[in-house]
Amino acid sequence: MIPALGLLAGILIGVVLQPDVPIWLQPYLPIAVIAALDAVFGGVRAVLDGIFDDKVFVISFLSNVIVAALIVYLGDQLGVGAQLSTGVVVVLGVRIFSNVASIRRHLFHA
Amino acid sequence: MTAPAPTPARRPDASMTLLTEMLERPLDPGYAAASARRAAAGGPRSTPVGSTLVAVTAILIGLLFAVSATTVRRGEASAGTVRKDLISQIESRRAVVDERSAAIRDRQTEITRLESNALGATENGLRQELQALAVVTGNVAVEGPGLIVTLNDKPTDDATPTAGDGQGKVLSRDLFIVVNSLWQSGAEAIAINGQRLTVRSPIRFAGEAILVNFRPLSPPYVISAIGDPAALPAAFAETVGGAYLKSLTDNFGIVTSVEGADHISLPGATRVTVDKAVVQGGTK
Repeated sequence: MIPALGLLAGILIGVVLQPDVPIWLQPYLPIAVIAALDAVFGGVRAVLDGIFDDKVFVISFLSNVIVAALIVYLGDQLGVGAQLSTGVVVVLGVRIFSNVASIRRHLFHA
Repeated sequence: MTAPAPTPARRPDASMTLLTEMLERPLDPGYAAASARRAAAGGPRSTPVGSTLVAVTAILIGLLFAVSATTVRRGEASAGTVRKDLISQIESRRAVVDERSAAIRDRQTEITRLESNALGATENGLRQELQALAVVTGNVAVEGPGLIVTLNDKPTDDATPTAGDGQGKVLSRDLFIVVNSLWQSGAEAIAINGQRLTVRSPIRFAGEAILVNFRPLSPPYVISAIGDPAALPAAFAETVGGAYLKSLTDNFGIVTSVEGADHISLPGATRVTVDKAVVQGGTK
């Protein structure tokens, strides 16, 4: 409950304040969103599996975002930023889908 | 010599460990490890979900979502306005150029009139010579019978132009060939879409557009040539240009037409003056 409220609060703060993101940071936003989604669904699944750990959740979120951003940065420097972004999205996308499938099995037994 | 030690059977998908790992174990193994450690120490298998750490992270994640969404949407909106702004700038500058070209033409007619007035008082031969030179150099508007050659891009099904490959688009090369063939077949004055060709008229490509006299033209390209109505069409059909037009239609679907016309009027060129070139041996 509290994490859901936190998420909502974060979204509200972002919408109300509309902070300016520096232009060099903007290419990393979509990747960061995907990485955050992966961490969120991983966390929800861990809760349902009964093995949730707050430190692992926080560290997985931070490391996901940082590593994804690093890969994209490296790709930009090498001139294959778009391809590496696609790679990151595919890998994290697969993980999100299988985590969501597992959550679905827990919730609906189907 | 001893027998080699029996190796464990390889999994058939051993070369794809990366993929199987990704597909079979999507949950961070850290969760299981941390849980096992806590269980071994006699604690609960799972920590409470409502801890401050989790709440702060959740706020951060929500913030990230909201900021990303607003930033991306704002970027799209501003790209649209920049585009509109550029288009309106292009249109207003083009209008200015048109206006000034018209002004130049007005001045040129005035100059011609004043010149003929001034010369009318003196010798008649000088005036005729001046007029003949003006026609040849493209300095004045002229009219007469001739030929109109029209080239248009291949018609597309939808409103958007065909992507990239340039198949079915009229190129500046096509216009050179037609124009050169028209000169060759005896045309006396030529204009493309109202841009009079002079000795100083380039026909060139800039990006997607064809530029004549440094003005971008848009299709259809209408090449009007004044010349002998009896001889010009037949002579043009025999040049490279005549055959070239047919091959453009057959191979690329470019729409072409060649029509004789009894009366064509061509505008004068707006830019025929020279600054640096002087007659050999003479002084400026």
